Amino acid sequence: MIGYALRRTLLAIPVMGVVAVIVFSLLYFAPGDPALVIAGDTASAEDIARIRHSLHLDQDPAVRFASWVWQLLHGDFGTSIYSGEPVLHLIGQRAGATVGLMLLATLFAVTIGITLGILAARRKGGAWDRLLAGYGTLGFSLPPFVMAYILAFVFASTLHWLPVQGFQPISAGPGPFLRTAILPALSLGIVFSALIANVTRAAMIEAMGQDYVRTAIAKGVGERTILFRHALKNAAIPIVTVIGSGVPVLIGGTVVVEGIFVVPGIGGLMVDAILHRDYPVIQAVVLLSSLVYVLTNLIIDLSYTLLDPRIRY
Amino acid sequence: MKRREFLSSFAIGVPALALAPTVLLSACGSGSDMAGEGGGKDATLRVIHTQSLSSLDPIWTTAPGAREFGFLTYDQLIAVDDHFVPKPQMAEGWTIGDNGRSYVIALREGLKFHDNEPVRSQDCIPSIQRWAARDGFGQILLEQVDGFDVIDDRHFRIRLKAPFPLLPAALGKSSAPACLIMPERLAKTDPTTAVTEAIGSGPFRFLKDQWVTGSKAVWERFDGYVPRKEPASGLAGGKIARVKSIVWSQITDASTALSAIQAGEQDYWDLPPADLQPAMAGNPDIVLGRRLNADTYFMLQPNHQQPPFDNPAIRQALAMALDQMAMMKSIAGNRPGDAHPSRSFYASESPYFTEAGSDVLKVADIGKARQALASAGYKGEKVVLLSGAENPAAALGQIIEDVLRRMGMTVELVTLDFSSLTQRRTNHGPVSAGGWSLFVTGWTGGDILDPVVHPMLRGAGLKGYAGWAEDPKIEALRRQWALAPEAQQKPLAEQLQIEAFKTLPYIPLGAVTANAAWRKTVTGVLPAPYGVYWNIGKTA
Amino acid sequence: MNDMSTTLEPMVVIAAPPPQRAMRIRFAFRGLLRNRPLAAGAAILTAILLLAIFAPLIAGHDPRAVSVGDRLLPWGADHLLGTDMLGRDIFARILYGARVSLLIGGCCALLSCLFGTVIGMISASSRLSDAIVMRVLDGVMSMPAVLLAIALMAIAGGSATNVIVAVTIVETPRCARLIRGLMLSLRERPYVEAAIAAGSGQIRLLTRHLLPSLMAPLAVQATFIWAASMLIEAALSFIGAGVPPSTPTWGNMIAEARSLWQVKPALIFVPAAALSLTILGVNLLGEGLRQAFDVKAGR
Repeated sequence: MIGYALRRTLLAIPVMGVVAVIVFSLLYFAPGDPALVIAGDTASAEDIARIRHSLHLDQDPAVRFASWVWQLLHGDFGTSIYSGEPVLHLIGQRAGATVGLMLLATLFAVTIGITLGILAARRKGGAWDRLLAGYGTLGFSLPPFVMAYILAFVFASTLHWLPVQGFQPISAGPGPFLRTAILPALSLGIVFSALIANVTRAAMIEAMGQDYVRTAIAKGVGERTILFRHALKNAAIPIVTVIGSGVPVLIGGTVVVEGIFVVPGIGGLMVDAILHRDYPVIQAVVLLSSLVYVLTNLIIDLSYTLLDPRIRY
Repeated sequence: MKRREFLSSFAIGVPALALAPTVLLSACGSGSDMAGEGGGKDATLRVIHTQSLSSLDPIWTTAPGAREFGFLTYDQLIAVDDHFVPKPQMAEGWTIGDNGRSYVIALREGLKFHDNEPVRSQDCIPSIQRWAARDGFGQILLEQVDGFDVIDDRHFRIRLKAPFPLLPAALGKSSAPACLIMPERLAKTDPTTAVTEAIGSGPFRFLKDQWVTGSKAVWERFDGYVPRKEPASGLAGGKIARVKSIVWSQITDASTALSAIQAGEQDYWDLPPADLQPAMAGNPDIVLGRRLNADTYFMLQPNHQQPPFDNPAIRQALAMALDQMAMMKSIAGNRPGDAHPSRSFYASESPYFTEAGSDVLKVADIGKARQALASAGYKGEKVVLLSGAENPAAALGQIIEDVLRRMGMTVELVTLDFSSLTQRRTNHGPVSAGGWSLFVTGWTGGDILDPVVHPMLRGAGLKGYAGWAEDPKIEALRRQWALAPEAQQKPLAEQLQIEAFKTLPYIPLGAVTANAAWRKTVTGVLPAPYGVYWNIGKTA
Repeated sequence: MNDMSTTLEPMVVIAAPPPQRAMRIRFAFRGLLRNRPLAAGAAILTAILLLAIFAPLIAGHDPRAVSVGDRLLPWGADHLLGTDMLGRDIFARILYGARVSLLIGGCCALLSCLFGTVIGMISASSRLSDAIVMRVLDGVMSMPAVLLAIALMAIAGGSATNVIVAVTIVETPRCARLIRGLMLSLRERPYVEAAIAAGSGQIRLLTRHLLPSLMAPLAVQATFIWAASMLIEAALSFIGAGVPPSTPTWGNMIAEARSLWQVKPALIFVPAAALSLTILGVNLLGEGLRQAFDVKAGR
């Protein structure tokens, strides 16, 4: 078990290495020259050369990559070219909002997804199953920004139940947070919930077909006990797996949804950074979201052994 | 990077790319939605600010967010009033000596920076030098300057090589970058490095710890500020802080902003899109009014170095095809009264405004343009048209693309975010090598007042503004204008315009009046060259 | 669970060896008749495809013709769905938008499956190549697809070709991983082992035994990529990093209508409905194929 955990952790390192190379080369090949942006129209050629030098843009790419990685390993993500603020400070200011939103969206998606999945699995082809099929197909077919506008139109503009903007962080208390985060979280979470529901349904149906569940049914064990004690427990692994896989989907969704609901999160920081060709910020956001994803999946993989003691590595 | 163009002050901007979100009200703590309601001296003015504040150096960048930040946080020695006349601001006044070759500027008493240090001559001189290094008008000034002398803490002298009557106009220039006064240690920063502190001497103190880039910015009244006694006018006069704090929230999604101001979650919206203004016009709690004392002007810049627009006859043909009013009405939306033609290289607010020589802009006929294009010898060269990705630039780009297509030109429209556009337009190579043929841009009236502040009315070739028009006559007249006595300036400006309509350094596209929207509780909105927030109060 | 194969991709597993040709045809035919998602999806897509192909005949207007005097007209006889902010005919733009959307979706699906199959097979061919290729794929896939696509578009600039390239880069690893998994499991199948034992050549093995078994899950996967790439294309246009705005695409239309959402909701609703309906069609088609081929896919 410990050996497996170690091996599994080590495997994450080359993955992050690949990410670092991709992120670095993406921006290395980017045509926009930050020195020109900074210099402005009135700058002379010497000014531009000086800026290029101060940003180390004139160094050999291999040297730049090596020193960049070295700094990263020391927790130094650099300074925003545009605002002059440390990148980690910029991300820190905004991470709370995005994480809060993602957690709420995940909570929503897991609750709805697992409930719908179990209900649908109870009777294949039944009313719940067909409802899930419809919900899933619709959920997968509506882009998050369309969903966001529909929700904003119905609940904010028409019914006036919830504000369309004015996001409050969790630190402002659960009431204000929920009131302002629920619409963006729903916009993000619906696709995710459909995904979880489908996986739950499939895993439950498979678990219900297993011998021990059939034996339990034959023995006259109550439906609730069978569903929750036996089937759901055994369906846990695929469900947890799909929850882990939702992280990049949620991060991608925040780029679009945060702008509509005016949430001061990472998505907006990313879009702004691309607008300003603010390389250190772009690099840090992509790197850190990959890291979050890799870590989430590391934890999930390690948790399999806890969920299912039969798994030995 | 001249982001003041296009992201600048039009009522229409819906930056599609600047999706950056915003926080509202107090970022954390239990400052629920109720914070900021209520009026009086302790009120918070909650502003929907369309442009982001991403850099704290208004000298280093001309981004509109940074520019309005600059006027709110810093102060100018000399500032223009509502009629663009330079008036003493931090300066008590100035005396001219040595036959116009020496200016002694006296500072008002009691001026303090936000760290409570006094404002001294030693702060002003490096501030002027750093600004001049970044600004076109400033560079003309520096060419004339022989030296700066500190006389004492409150007096300094600018020695000139030759009389330069435009010196107050230069120091009081309202277009970005404006000459804002920073403490000496900040002012000594290399002009190509951004200052990351914000220690000004203006009526409001910037609270950097509450700043979230591209999202939220907060100011607090600076109690140490001594306003002038005159009433506020333009950027001049008594800047009185009538609210305790100001919060800018960047809401780039226009529908979201509309909901917020309608619901009273925000007090003031600097750039509501024209098409959304009717939705507010029916609301008794909301006022629509002017916030700028000049219109917003749009321009089409041809590349004079590459075919086909290196041919002046083809530039003339293009100018004939454009229907200014149709384009401006598409921007002004449901408020056609806000659309204006602009058949001059100067803003209509300028004393030099004239329509002399502008006949080519009155044609507005694609059929005639097509004939003119054929006889000018257009050989089907590909035209690459650059436009910003945000409205109204994006809309203008699409309209002009359609016009070019109907004129019979081969055209490719490329929309870019503004930073990319400012980079791409520095390429003066052929379109096959990443170059360009035309781009769309915009400036506010205060930016195109006269031949010297005007950034695009140039003929200096590769040394001038992107587009690189070559017309030595324009350059000579510009220089002559800058040094001429006042009585000769008007005829010289007109002569320059007549010449410019022959060679068309750029093509004026028209102008639009920008409106802001504010709640009834907001008082004292002051039209100025840029959005300013002093003098604005709030009733309960 | 020896790697990070935890993605959104359908975990597709072949339930049965490929049936004989005659059986397969009958099976497909029966599937078409009884398979309601497949029929519905095919019907929706056929309709949209026909509208897209015959757009010049049906539209009645040039989708790019600006007419500022006619901006924001309501529905009517001349402009079936009204006009947009520049006076362009919305119906025409929807029809021509279908071309772009289907073209981008189709190209991305095709190219991703093509590259994905090649990369997946290379990966499955040896332990060493597997280790290298899988780490690279893991790296690409750990970056949120939308973020990566935006970054690529910021570099390459907005054009339909660049959107296709960016989305293909983002989607290929998902397909490669599927093929690699299938190849690894196919190698263990008795009929493949038998073929190898019988001395089947590599090429013959590939074309006769392996590729046919890959076709069904690949087709299902292609529909997922098709739907995903149309969504990414729309998201790119929505934030202004996609195809130039004068090109009629549904994402562009939605992006342009954003500011008018509250006063003219139809401007967003019409292209959003077209986009959602097309993706719905693709999803139904995928679901139908999945049922028809009896591919077990948990999405």
